[in-house]
Amino acid sequence: MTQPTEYENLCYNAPGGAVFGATSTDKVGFYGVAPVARSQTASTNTVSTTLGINVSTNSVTITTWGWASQAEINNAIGAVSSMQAAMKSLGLIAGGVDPLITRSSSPFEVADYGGTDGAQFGRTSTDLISFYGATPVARITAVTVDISTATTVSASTNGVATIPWGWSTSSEFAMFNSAISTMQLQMKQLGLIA
Amino acid sequence: MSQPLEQENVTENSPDGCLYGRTSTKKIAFYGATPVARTITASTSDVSTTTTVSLSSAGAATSTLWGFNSQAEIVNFVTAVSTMQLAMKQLGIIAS
Repeated sequence: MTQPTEYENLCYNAPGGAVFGATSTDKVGFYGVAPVARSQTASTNTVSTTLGINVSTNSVTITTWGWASQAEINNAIGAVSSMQAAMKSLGLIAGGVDPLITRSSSPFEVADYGGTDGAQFGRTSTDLISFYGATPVARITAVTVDISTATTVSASTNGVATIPWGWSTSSEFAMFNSAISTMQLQMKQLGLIA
Repeated sequence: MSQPLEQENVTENSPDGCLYGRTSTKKIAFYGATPVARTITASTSDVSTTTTVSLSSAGAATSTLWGFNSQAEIVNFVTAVSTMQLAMKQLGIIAS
């Protein structure tokens, strides 16, 4: 892309990439939250190999899709929970602690210079960047489908007196797990989670 | 890790840490994306306490399906993942 002159860029095209936070214990933050060291949460298992299953394949004619084992659903929940906690504490999504930082009171260094049109870290999708001392990487090329419109269903609504809630189709279940897996991989590669 | 000389470090080892974006309304981005303020989406409920259930444990059928215990829990889960996905796409951390 053409680089608008009004965006500041934090890095200077070093061939090996740019790191934001030299080690996992350095404190970093985004959008004005108090900087934190990398989350100490144990690494979550990767969910890229998660298998889905349809109850109807088990001799009951219903359409709920879910996980094939308790370990798999726990892995998925652990992955989402770890990413959610990390992104909240880093300030990348709402829900963390937002101290009101003013130029006069801030004890932190601030890595943008107040340009009204914003700042970029990494000029293109193939630039190498990382956080917390991880080896810089380019952006993952996989594109995940938006999952905000996924529909869910309870087995009990299909005439079976049970309570698990899952997804309506195998494709919805698959794209959901693909989204989690891609985010988890990129956050691990970037060093944002352990 | 030892910092290879060919990698630049954006921070300067301030003991209290380093911020990228002074407030939630400042615009930032990664990998060349157009800078954006923080996603306005309301905070999602924490999913760390989500409980799960097996269809077979519910007593009605012999199957191995694992899912969520209530509609509220699966909705929280979907919202949490969707919010993170939207934020990471807008920031340029994953492709959109």
